[in-house]
Amino acid sequence: MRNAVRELRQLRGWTQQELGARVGTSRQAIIAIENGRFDPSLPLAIRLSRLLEKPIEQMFFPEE
Amino acid sequence: MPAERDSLIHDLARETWDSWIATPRWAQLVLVGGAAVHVVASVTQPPIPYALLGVIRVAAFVAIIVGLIENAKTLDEFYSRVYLEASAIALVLSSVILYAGGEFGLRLGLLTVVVLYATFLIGFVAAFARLRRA
Repeated sequence: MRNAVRELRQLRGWTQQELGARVGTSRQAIIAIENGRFDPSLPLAIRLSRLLEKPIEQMFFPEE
Repeated sequence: MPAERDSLIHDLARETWDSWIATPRWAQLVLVGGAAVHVVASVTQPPIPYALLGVIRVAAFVAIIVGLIENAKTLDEFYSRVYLEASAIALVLSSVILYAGGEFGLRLGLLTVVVLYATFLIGFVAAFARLRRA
């Protein structure tokens, strides 16, 4: 699934490590999510959505 | 924005260490103690009945497994996924290797465990690399 996590993170000037720490996950999880290799669980997606202040449906896009 | 190192080995080492720190103290002690006992019982060949030595080795091996399971519980959902893929790869690879070994009369004995863990390790690195690839 494509997503806007990298763009939203970079807007805030955070590293992948910092974002991972803020949502309680590893840097690897953030790397894999940003690369579209790994879809987060719903709880993690909600934490990302709240932290990055973007509704989930505007952050994650299904592959067409 | 600060630069981020992007080395697979560096990241794997760092997060292995982080998971070790997050592992409960009792589990750390069980894991290290089990490993130490197993090494001593395997290397020194203490003068005790073989059955007793076998029981000690099995108990030490179980202790290592218990410690590793507690360590795995500290991992996040990304690593749970890596474990899942690594387990699937290990199941497929090890079953083929063990079956082929049996067909050709290769008696692996305790080395069966080595095959299982080696294939899991291969699967872990492969799954880890695949999931972080851009």
